[in-house]
Amino acid sequence: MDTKPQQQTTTLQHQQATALPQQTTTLQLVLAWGFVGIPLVFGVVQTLINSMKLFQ
Amino acid sequence: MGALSFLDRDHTVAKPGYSRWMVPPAALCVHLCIGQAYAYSVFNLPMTKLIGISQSAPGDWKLTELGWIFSIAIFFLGVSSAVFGRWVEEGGPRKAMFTAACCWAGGFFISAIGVHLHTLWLIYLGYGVLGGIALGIGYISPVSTLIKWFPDRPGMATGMAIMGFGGGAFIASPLSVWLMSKFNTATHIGVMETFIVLGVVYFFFMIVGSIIVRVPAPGWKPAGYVAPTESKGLITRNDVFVYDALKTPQFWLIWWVLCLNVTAGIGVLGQASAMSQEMFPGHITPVAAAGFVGLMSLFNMGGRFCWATISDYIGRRNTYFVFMLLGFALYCTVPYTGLTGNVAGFVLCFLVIISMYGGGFSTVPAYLRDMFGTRYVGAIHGLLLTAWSMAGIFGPVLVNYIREYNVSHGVPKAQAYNTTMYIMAGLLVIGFICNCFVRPVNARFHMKANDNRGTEPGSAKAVAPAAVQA
Repeated sequence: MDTKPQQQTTTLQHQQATALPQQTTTLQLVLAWGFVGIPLVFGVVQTLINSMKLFQ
Repeated sequence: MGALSFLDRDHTVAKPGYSRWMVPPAALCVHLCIGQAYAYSVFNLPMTKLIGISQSAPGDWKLTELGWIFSIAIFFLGVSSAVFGRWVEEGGPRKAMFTAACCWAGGFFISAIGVHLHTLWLIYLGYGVLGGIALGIGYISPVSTLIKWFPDRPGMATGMAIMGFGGGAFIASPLSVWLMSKFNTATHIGVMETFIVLGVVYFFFMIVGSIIVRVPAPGWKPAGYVAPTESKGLITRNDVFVYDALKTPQFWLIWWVLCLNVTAGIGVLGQASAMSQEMFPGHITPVAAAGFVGLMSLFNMGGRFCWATISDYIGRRNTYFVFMLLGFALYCTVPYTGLTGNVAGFVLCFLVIISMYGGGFSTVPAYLRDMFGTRYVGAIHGLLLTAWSMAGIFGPVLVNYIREYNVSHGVPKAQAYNTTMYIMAGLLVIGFICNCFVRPVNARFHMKANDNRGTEPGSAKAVAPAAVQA
């Protein structure tokens, strides 16, 4: 009874997954990681600078 | 309805060639934003001077009233992750991230109105309730997706995302202070404008994450990865339905393991500054204590990634054994460092302890995946986060009240925390025992091939059949 919608879903996903390959480029990876990495590194450096007060 | 169909799970299935390394940044987009919650305290003092500007005036809010904002948010984090866990799992990560973005930004906007009208209940509703719901949904939204993309390294994958939650405060704290300084005038405190800007920035960041994120196509597996054909040790090949997991002793054992581990860490995290100054009077100044707190935050974040990654190699249960045993030894050592005036030893003990506190959060999704399978791991994780809410109450209460009791009974302040340390060590012993009892889930709880639950279109089951799960 529940197999029909599941089959439809799986078929839709299968079609999406097999048609139109979409290679992730290195640029996309660099942009994605930079988007989150740059603010994070900025925050970590700021915190590290403040933390150095412990050793002064 | 049709306009929002791009949010559906079906529309987030990755096409061939999509790199799984795009998913951790997507998860970090959400976790770095909601991690702002840890930095909310930077608004407390300015919000006590909204009327008086230079100092609190009659009618200004009190710190005790403002303290409720964070407590309400954490309470709703636990509630929403438990209530919406199944919806998040079956609706897919994009829909969950989008919802979290709307709630998170909406929470800031409502709070901005609350500040403008000087109406505290609007901030309780905005940041507390709506923001808390965003915290819960956002926190669990990428977990199962990451586990499905990284069946070979689930600990490392979830560790990266949950590390972002710890790191969000590093960005939010200086950003909020800078924004307030920009909007401050002689007659106005710039909290309202800061809330609006943060709401816009966080909404943008989280939406980018929801656009990037993809779920793996049915049958996908990493190149060179061979999924185990049968259950091995604690790692199951079967799935347990989200509400059936509640009926297993394993869920509650892990619940207590997490609760006790978090209780042991969260209490000292909140009191680290005062504790270090009182245990080492004259040696640790308020400025140095602030540096110590910053260093603890870094270890909290780093521990989330490192311990979760280590768990991929030594196993989840063994990782928690390390937390409990090493934590026990370190908590027992802390009073000795105070007695001998060993500041370096004290700092080292707490840095390791706090790294394991963070590691407890990031290792638990992979632990649940090992026990209950991949299909409902996000939803089960959501239910488990109620342990965090519980620990958030117990931990600080234990530290504060035992210290108060000791001081009022004549114990010198430098030694007032010793009893607390031994109690924390005792809690970890209980956690160790709970962890010992964790065994593979009984086969009667496993979902059968003809199980109807979660089979609606776009459901988690349809997307990730058991045959492709690691």
